[in-house]
Amino acid sequence: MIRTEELLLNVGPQHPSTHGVFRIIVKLDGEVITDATPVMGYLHRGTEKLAENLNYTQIIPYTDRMDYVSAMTNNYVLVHAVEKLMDIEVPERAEFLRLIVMELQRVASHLVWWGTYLLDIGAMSPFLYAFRDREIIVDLFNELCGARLTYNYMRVGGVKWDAPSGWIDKVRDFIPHMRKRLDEYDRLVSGNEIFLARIKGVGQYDQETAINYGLSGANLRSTGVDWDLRRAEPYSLYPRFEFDVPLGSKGDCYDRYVIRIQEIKESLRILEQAVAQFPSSGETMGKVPRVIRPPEGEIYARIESPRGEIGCYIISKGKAEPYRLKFRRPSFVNLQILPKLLIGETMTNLITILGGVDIVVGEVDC
Amino acid sequence: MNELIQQTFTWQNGLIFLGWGIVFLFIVLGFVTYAIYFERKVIGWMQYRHGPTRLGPFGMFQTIADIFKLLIKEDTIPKKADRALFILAPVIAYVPAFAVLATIPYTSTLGFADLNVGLLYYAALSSISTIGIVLAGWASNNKYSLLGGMRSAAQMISYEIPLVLSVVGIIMMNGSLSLRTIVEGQGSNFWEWNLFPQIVGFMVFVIAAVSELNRTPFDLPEAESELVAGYHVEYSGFRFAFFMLAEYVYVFAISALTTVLFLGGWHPPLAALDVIPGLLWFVLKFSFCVFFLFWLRATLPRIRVDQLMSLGWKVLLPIALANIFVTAVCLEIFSK
Amino acid sequence: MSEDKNQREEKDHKQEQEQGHKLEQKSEPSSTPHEPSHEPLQQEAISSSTQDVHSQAISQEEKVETAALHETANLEQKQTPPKPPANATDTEAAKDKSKNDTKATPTPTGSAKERPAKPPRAAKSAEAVPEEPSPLQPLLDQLLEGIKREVAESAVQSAGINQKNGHLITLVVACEHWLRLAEWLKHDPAWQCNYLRNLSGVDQESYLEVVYHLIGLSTRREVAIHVRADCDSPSIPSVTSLWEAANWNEREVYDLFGIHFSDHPNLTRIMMPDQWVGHPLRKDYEPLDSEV
Repeated sequence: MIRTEELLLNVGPQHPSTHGVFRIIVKLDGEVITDATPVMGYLHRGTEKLAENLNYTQIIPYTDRMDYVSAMTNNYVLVHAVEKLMDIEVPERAEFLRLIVMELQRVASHLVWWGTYLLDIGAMSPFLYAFRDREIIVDLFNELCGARLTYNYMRVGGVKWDAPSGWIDKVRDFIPHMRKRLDEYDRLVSGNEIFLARIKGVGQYDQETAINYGLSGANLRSTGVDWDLRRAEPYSLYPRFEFDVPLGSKGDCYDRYVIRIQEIKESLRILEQAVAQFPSSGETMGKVPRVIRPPEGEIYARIESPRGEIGCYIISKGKAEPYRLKFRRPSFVNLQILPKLLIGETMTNLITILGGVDIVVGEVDC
Repeated sequence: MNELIQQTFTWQNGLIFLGWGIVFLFIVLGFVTYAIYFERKVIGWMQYRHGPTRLGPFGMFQTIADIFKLLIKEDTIPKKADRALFILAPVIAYVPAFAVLATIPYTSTLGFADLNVGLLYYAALSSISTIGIVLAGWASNNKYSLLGGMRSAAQMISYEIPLVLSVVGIIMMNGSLSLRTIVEGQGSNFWEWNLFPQIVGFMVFVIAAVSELNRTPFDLPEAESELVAGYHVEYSGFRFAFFMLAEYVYVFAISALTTVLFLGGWHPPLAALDVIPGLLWFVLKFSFCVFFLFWLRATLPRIRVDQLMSLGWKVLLPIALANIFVTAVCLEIFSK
Repeated sequence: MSEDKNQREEKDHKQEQEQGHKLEQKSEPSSTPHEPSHEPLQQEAISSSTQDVHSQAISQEEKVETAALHETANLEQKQTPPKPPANATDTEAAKDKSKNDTKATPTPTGSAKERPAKPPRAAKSAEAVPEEPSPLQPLLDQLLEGIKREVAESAVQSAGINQKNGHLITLVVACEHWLRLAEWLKHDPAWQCNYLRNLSGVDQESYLEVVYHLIGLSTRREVAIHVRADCDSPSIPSVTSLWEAANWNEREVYDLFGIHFSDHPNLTRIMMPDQWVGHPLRKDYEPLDSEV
């Protein structure tokens, strides 16, 4: 007799579109998903446990490797937490450098997201265009701190390397170049019928669900909640700059796409202002004790990374190593909504939704 | 060639056919080799990179090296795969691709067989490849390839219909299914080609053709980012080469068919340019069609499977039917 | 109310500290229950002993550091205390002492025992000599009153304001009242803490705890809550029914610490393989390869 049964399909851990080593066990009825269980932990490296034996400066390279696509923001959250605990004043030039580097990193991270998202959807070319532009940013970082992906650039109290001469001019030149490119990309992709049909209305959720699930970043703002930590809980020099926070309304993949493209534009705006106000001289490190030993206490510092709210919770017992260091990773929290969104969708939409959440598995697993 | 076919079938005639067939096979293989190279170059340029440059002058020997690599690879068959079907599937996918090339008229004198049901022969044979793909999906014992094979079956069946219906208008205009007659019915100037009277049919035909080829934007059966190469994921080495070969020979076939049906075959765009041999015009138009397919691949994202089906059934099919209707009406009115 | 009383006590105690009479202060009454207050005392005893060793060794360095830091700090009242014990007044006492004496004495930690109401990890003060109450102090009082009214009298074991962390209201809550308190925080119109920001487990050697950071996106009110569990068979009610964000976070805490969350929809290991034995982030965890 003919019998139909559910197909159990393993998406990953090796799969071109899961953005890392990440697995979803999917039960299919034809092409429709009836159940989806994410399985993670393939990239768990025990950062938090390791941190208990390392002093704070030694933990900074580990933060790079968590969210390797936007390493500068990870650096910053750790360093910012320690500085707040110790009441260290960061000199202005260092803070400007940090902000410029973080915003450049935001642009780079969103470009990677854009390229890979479109690659998942099937268009091969935007991936290369995005990486071509990201190459410029990565070259800038290379000049600044010697590394292309894992920068280890920030230190408690400032930054490690000062900007070489001419670096700020290169950043300044990059901004109009990127703006022009963004227009080209908009014309290529954002109006494409096939693309719009693929992502409009897909993976929709409303505000209460988003807040309940603790989403952050573009995932939260796509539902219309105005919660951008650069605006809501300002840190660094963000209060000095004018920028808008793009908001969506429907909470589907299209809104998230538009918001992220807008965020690149806003980052370029911030960069323009920052480069214009960049102090021509100054120190790159504040007055920091030789051994960084925060006083006893605890702190939860959080900043807006390209993926959402990244937080660093430190419990210090007055030693050079943290007693407990926990990273609140946005990809980990944002991913929780995935099983809920996937039920009833087709396999193709799984890829679209997963790409729209914008995860980096290094961050999911920490 | 035609006279040979009319004669009785002797050993000598058979060997001549076989010889010409082999010659043509090599021509097609040469085309496939350089079509792959051309595709990589074109897509590379569109993506702001060079494409193959190392092997040979301008990287021209790259495909030869790739094919050689595929041929010397280990022939792996998954343990639980259905051996006979696994081995048979690439053959079934490839043979019709090559067989349909027989009916296409390359110039007014050059051609293999001028069947008076040439177009029907083409449509019929090209559907047999679908069986090959479904078999590949099933025999691989792999859920991803099964999904790919199923998708492919649904897709190809759905798009076969608009494909054939879109050319019914041409058939009505020429009163014949024979491809040679269709080309002869088109004039020597580009406005006399079937392109303009049948512009709607042309658009439907192009979309349906891209879908029949399983090429982007309709490449769901082999969607790399979702199904990890879909129905040919378990194939490696020579058998994989067969699938690739089948795909590119179909590119040849569809482009040749487009040229013959809509773009005037061997006719020059302007009557004055008659001095240039017809074969060259055929090759130029044909190359443009091939280039267009590669261009689409570099640019467009992939369409989703349910959207694909609704496009095929709800959009293309009604348009093709409307085209037939309008053509019939116009023929009635304007031929009186 | 208890906080005001404590502040008055602090001012009294400061003077008494100068004379080093720490033993009498141990029995100071406080309005919060005594049981949990012993734990911070024990803990501070542990930490203070380690600090004794350190403080004497580095006192010279501290003095230089404090002097150097003094210059760079812009705000006149902020200062990084040298080898800080957990308590507000202790830092001032230590600072005064380090200015006056050449050695940072171990005695400042004794005054920590006076502060059973403040959580052991409350921040240092932002002030010089008199401790200025945080601007959010009235809010904290209001919160405590609300909790007493709606949840339970003894729900909050201690409360304080973490001034370093942007004046974050920090509560230490008993395990059995946690779920009720969480529900109240989520639904109370003044607080509406609908966004669970962070959920982390901590292994404080004598007990395990879970720290929740909540915020109300519309009210912009934040609170951090420490919920304690004991070391063997630790169990805390799960808040997944209130904030779905807690789902995987609690699984992670279960995986890495072994804290069991009751009523969790799917409490399984998330980071480690399913067959893993042990809870890696605990302090007493023996890694498989001891050389690692």
